[in-house]
Amino acid sequence: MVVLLINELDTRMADLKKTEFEGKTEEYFRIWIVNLFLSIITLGIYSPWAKVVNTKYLYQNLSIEGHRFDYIAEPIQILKGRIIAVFLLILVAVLSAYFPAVYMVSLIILFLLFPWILNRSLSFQLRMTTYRNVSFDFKGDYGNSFWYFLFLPFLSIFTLYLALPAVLRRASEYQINKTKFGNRYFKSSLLSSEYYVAFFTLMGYLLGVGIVIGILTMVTSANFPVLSVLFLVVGYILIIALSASVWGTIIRNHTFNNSSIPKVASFQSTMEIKPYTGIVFTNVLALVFSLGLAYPWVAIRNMKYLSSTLEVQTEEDIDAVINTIKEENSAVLDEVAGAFDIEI
Amino acid sequence: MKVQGTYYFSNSSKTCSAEIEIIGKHIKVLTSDGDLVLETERSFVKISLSIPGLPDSLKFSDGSSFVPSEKSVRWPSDSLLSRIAERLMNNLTALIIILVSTPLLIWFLMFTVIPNIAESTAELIPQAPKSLLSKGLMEHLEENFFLSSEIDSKKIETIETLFYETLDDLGLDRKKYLLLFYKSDYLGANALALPDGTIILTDGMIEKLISYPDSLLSVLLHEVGHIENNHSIRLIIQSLGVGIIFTYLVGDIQGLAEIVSGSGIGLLQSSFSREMEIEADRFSVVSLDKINIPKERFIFAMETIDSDGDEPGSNSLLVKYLSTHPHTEERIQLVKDL
Ligand SMILES: [Zn+2]
Repeated sequence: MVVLLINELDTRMADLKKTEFEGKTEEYFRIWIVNLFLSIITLGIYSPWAKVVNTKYLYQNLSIEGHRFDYIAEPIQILKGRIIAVFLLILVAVLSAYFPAVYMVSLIILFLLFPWILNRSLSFQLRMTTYRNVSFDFKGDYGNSFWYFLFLPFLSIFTLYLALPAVLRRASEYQINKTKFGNRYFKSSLLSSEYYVAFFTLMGYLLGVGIVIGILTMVTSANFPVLSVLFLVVGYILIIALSASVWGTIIRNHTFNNSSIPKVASFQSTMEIKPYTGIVFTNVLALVFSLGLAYPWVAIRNMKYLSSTLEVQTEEDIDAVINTIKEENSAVLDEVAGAFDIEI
Repeated sequence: MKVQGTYYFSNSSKTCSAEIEIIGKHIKVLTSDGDLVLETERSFVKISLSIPGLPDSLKFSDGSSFVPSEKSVRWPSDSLLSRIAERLMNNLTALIIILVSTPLLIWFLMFTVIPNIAESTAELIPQAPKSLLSKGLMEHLEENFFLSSEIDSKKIETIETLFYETLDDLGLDRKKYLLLFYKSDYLGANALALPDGTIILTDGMIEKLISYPDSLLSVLLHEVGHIENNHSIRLIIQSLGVGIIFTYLVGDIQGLAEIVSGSGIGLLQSSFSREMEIEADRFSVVSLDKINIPKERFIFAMETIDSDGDEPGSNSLLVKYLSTHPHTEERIQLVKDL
């Protein structure tokens, strides 16, 4: 029996394949800086091409079983969307300048449209992502998105945010279960307890760092004011890094390990808090001190770590998924929604 | 021309390793066993944007695609844009020039182009949104920082008469302005200008300068300078512009965008507002000159207000760094130089 178990474990392990990421910092830096330059000298007109090329570089360098991901958005469509979005923004600004009521009304409209914009935006990002020439998609509906992304988080305020982890669990479960790869839905069942573990672990870390930084600042403030400012800055960055890494690690592991595309693929994520905190912390430092120039290094490093900790097991139906996104060009409305660039 | 790679069938996740053969305008896709998968003309095929380190992939009109296994594969493409961009990415001299000029361009954009655009658009903004904005600001201030003024009404009347008559003397529209008086422990000796023409004077300020009406007037004229130059509206348009730049131009840099919208915007703001303080100072000095008051009265006002500004405390260093107001000594020097 034991032998059998080990055998089964062995074959399982053999099928697990690391996602591979081959992007290189030096290469991405060249691409990114040229795109940035072209975007600036064209006063933003080139920026959709920049976005597409940058994203394509990161996506196409990510592969599973030798098949590259791809980002298939059309720059010209993104440009149209952005122009319309900026035009709408200016229109509302000008109109509300003459009729103050317009401002209030458009705020209400925006609030009511928010779930719809979110759905369209999520769906757009996913439909533009392909693997093996098959698009992903998000099929959220207005009511549920309103409920999970807006109403429940709002309600949790009245529980002093104590219900927030449970709310976030339901929201991401909803989001994953409405996500499709071709004609197959993702399936996910998550545990609130894991969200509370993440929540309280994060609180613990933050409290610890807060106390240590507080003491260090107080001790040094009288005689070494420069040092105490330094401690404050480091503490501030450390708190940003910890918030991203502790929550990110626990939740990403939990969601991947409990989600799958039945008969197509299952996942195993093995991120760890310590190394990831180090990565996020140095990323923020590098971005601040390079005034953003370190971005390509940061992006590549992040992708490398995330892909090295994610394994995928593909199953028998992996080459039988039907692509349901027929039209390559999506409606302009989607592009406008996409221009808001909302991500969850 | 023959190239090895993977063929992705249309409408499904099915794949096969394949070879592509191009003869003139004719294109053939064959499986590794030599079976014909697809036969088409060059004009029905879309070539992807060329990106360094990645192969050019082909998209056929039926939705299927072909990705070469060799990274260096390039097809004769007709997209000039993509060619130029890739050439820049692979040219060391071009890269060095771009690397040096990009930060300068961003600087130019943020500190010259956007402020200029903000200045000219701010003039187009009518009164209605300014009043709306000011109403909101006023509510916030009244709720959090203001108590009723304790200065006696005689003195207030004197200040009001002085202020409005000076506006007349300067040829400014007195109906555009409204002078209000409040007591505020938090703000101390201070004066504020709201976008719609409301000027607020704190009791602390009056107590300090009541015996020096010319100096008090110079402070009020500094605030008038903020309003006449549309400073708050310009500040709002500028941060909006910087916001749009960082979302769309620099694009999709999430980490950076967060830093900028957090502390960075604050830094930018303070550098913008620094310029604006100096501009308001200049307005005050020029106006004083018109009604024959020497600028020394304004310098005296600044020195008096500043005198109890920072007490020698442990956190004064931090306060100075975070303060948006430029150093008083620097401003005084600039006024002297006018
Ligand atoms: Zn001022």
